[in-house]
Amino acid sequence: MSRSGRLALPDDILLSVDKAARYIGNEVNSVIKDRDSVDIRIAMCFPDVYEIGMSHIGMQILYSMWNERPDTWCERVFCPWPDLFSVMKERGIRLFALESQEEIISFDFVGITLMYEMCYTNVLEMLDLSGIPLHSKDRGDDCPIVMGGGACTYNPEPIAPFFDFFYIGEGEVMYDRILDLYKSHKRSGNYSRKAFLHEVAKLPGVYVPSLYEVTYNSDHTIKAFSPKYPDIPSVIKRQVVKDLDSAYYPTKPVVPNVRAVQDRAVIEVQRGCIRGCRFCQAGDTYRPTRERSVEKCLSIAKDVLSSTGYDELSLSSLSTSDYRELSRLMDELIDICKEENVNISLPSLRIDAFSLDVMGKVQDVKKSSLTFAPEAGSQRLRNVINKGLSVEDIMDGALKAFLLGWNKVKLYFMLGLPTETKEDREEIAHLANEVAALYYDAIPKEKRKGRVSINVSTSFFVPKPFTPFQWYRMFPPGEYLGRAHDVNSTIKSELNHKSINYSWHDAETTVLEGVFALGDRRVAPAIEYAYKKGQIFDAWTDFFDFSVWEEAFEKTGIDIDFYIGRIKPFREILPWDFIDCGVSRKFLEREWERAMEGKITKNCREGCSLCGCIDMKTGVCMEERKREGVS
Amino acid sequence: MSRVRIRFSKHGAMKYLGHLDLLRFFQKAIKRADIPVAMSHGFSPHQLLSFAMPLSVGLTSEGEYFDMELDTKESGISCDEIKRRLSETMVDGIEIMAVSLLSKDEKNVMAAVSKASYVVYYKRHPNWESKASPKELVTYFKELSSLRWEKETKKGTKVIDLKKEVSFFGAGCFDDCFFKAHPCFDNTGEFLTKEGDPFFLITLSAGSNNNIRPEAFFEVLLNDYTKEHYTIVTEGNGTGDLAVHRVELIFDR
Ligand code: SF4
Ligand code: SF4
Repeated sequence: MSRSGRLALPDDILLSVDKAARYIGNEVNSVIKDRDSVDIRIAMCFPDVYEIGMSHIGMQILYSMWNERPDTWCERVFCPWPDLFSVMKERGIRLFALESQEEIISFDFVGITLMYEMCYTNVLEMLDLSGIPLHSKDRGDDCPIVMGGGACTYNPEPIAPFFDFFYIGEGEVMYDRILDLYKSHKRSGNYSRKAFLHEVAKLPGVYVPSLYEVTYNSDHTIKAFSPKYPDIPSVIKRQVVKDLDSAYYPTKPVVPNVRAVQDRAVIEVQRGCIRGCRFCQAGDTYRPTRERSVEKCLSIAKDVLSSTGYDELSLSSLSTSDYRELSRLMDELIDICKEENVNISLPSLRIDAFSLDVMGKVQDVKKSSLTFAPEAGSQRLRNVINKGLSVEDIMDGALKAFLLGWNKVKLYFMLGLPTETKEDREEIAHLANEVAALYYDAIPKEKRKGRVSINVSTSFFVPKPFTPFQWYRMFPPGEYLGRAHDVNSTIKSELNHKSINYSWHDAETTVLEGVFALGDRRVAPAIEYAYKKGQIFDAWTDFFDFSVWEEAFEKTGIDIDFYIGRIKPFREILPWDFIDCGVSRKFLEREWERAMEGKITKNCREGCSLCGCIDMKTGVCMEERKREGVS
Repeated sequence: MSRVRIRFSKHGAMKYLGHLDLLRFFQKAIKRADIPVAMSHGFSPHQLLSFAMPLSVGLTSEGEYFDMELDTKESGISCDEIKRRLSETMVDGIEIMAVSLLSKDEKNVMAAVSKASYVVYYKRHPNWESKASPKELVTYFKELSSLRWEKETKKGTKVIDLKKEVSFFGAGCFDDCFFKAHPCFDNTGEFLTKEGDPFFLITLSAGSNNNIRPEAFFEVLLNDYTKEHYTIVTEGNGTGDLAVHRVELIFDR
């Protein structure tokens, strides 16, 4: 079906903004339906720019899945770039969906994908441009239902007042029931959003913030978090797909008209990670690890390539090296891709003989670089964070790679980890130096293609909900920069410093991310304040202004140190404690204690440490292996 | 190795697609259509395509071209078949108009272009018409002995006599029939022209050596004619005075 009618934006605007094609829709595989023949219209909003949102596989999954329903038309909406934002505000043009080019205020649902905390002001931008009241409590029956999903919903509290409900877990599981329920409410003839929200709150995975009451102690900590009505659940359980092979996967993803960050076919090969690094939220919130079969992956790959015409394919998952049949999958994919003239772009794999062999087959060794993420400089600290990557692993991998012709290495670390000392930071520099030295030792002068290039980069650690480090604290921006300086000055004093390049992440952005990750409902007014002061696209350094945020916290009476500046005791009620994400509180506490003792915990395949996810009866938990439990 | 030349149109919402994005659009379309295109050698092979004369964002056209080399090992595909398969995988706003086989010694499309014809009409600026009615403007231009344009380039100012770069310039009116026959004119519905509205038809030098953009030509001409300073914009800062539609590219044989 083809679209008729005008574009939402007039020609003069489209010709004056950057990359107008972001706003026209009309992409290959985008779905056009007859508005009069559907019951439910959904605006799926991604609070970032088109090129980023279009690269997000979760969004493509939900988009296709919803559009499979004959009664539903789901359309996409991305956050207008600041140039267009101001024109729309000025001229009173409302936010529209790409497919129909119609204003989303008339839709049934506005679903917002929340992938990273730094997009929160963009969420407000999108609601505001749509003409939807920012606060759930101010919305009438004719206003769309605003729902949120995605990684940030493991602590939705800082943005709770802006949403009608959140869906916690994997979208494939419960959305059909939500839409069915909505339809029956609409059909009843006397629809009320209040009644709908009350009913939807009873579905597993659904959290309706307005139906919960939070009280506080005099020291500002949470006293109680409880449902306002007896029939509303007090705990929200994360919803998990049991079998990836039968789960919905889009074989006709929308092909972006403007080059996206991921301009390629993406095959999700597994969900979850077996490793249990203690800083990693995804490692906990996607448990248990579930694999998609090689056969299914291959059939998806073929279908996606033929429906899109992509000339590049990539695999997506956490820790792809742990996919058990990776070698068979790669062999078969390489065959398919050769025949179809398609390049394979590799995810970051653990560097060993196997991955080097694969990398040598599919990419240009001269151009590609090796990536190691030891995350911490010393073995002691790596034990604390349970990162099972040793100096020997790195040196072995690097040596093999150097001999095969590689000479670029990337090393990723974090600063601000629990128990970290100056020595740990200096070890980062030593490690980089050793890798460089290894190159010069191993490769005779005449065989070198120039200098080895070691790129060290550090980010600052943000404690995240549902990790063993959720009780840990952060530091002021100045302290972080001091730590980066420790690394920098040590690198400068290393023998091979000329081969080492060091960069670090912005400290102020990190601090803000921490407040959003660890905050509660009382943080929401500050986000609204900052938005009203013009803050949008905080993830983009060009638009980020920390002084506005400092003002926002001050004006709304928020002491950020309360949220990020102290180590919290186990007994304190955390803002996200009402969510049952699968890993048990006991497990997290045990892991925190083991971290403090520098004890490592085995990964799920070496031995189950009874994290709590076994109740879901799927994936790695069901594989045959020793159960060690608490050791 | 056999080569084909593909003519297509670009209009509607797709007129906002930039040149590089259009290129990527076709690379994918060719794969979807499973056309046996020849590939370059090397680590990441790419399709052997060459596009003529990038169209500025915001302009419509029914005279867009690219050449495609076919993989001789898999030859045997007819031009009709290429046209059919590509057409099946297009979106609204891009239409495959013709596919023709090129002879061995034919120059590639970019090198072959020598001229381009455009239909140009006013978007909105009714007072322009009174200042510069199309017929008068054409007559004025024809009577000039030269029309000097100081073109700013990266290497400094270059003086061009526009008189020498125009091979046809005329004015006409949209009549109902002409308009209906040209769905490629702005079909975003924004400035559909009425019967009786004036337009210009112009053929200008084009190609890699000496390319005159129609909006530049009109800017110089109108400045000269009215002795007022006009900045004519078809793209860029959004005031949008003229709509430009490319009708055809003319090739040297
Ligand atoms: S390997 Fe560690 S950091 Fe990576 S996804 Fe798994 S748990 Fe997270
Ligand atoms: S229950 Fe055991 S195997 Fe399952 S995710 Fe937890 S630790 Fe891993």
